[in-house]
Amino acid sequence: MTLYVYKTGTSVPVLTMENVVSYTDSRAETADGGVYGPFAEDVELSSLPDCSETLRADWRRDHPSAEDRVKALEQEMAAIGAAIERGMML
Amino acid sequence: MTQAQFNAMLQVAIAQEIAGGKYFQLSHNLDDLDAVLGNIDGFSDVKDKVEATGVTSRAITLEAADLQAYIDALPRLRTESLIIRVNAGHVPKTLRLENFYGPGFLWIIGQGADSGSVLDDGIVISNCSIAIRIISFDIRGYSVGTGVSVSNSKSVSLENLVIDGSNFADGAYNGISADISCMVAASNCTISHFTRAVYTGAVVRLINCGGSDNASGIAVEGGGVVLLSGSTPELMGGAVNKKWGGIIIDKTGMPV
Repeated sequence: MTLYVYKTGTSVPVLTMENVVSYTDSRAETADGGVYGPFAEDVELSSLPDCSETLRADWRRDHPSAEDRVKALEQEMAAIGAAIERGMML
Repeated sequence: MTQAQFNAMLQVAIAQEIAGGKYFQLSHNLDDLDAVLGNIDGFSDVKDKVEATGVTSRAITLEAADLQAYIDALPRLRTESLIIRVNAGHVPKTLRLENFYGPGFLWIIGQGADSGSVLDDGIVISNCSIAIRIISFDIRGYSVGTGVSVSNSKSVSLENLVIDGSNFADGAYNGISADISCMVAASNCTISHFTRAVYTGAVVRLINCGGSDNASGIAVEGGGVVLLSGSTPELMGGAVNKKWGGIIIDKTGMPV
């Protein structure tokens, strides 16, 4: 596939990566063994030349890091704890 | 026969032998041959250079427009270290440093980008085994797509250069390109508005360099190595780095 690298908030690619066989939010690999990465913080990926997709953000959403999962768990536990406390007070 | 007559005869004899490619047969005694060669114009200079235990140095100042012609006229064998200071002005064509070798070094020092020292069409350094330093220039281009192109050159130092692709009339591809067995060190250089800030299949050190508005930052290929040091950013102002075999190492020693 072809991926377009563009600066967030713009719709013009600064770079075109051809023959990409896989990608994450931080790197992309091409069929000939090339590796693009890391990406700058202020860029996004799109498979469409109009830069209408946000593939890096989508990837992060679909692949939360262990740190993010721990944070989410902590928040969930805190919410449960608060709910229990409220229940006990009632 | 006087000593002078004897020497003159020997000079004629050795000149004939050299012309016939048989000078080594003139004398079986190297000391005799050495004495004879020393009496022939030019040979004593060569002997002195071959047997020198140090490298002399010399500094000159040139107008920018005269730089390439001066370099073209230099002997490729550098037995002295030469420092060329260049007055502010434009070097109108691609500055080419090619095929220099020997124990000497070559420094070319401009007045700085802010002071109007401009290389109008980039630099090409190829097949040089001497140490070369290019200091304090604004690099532009109208016929080349690369600011500084280095190939098969063992020791190239680039210092205080402003390499801005927006000043390139016909596309700006590489800010610095180093390929085919090179060692390049760039310090305090800024590279902006290029497709690739730095490309190498050799070894490049970037020390306190900066970059902005480049499509790609650093591209390595074929086992190229880029070492980042000081304040040099990992991406050199690009959206991403590219690796087709090779490594980029940050200032902590970790792969980028």
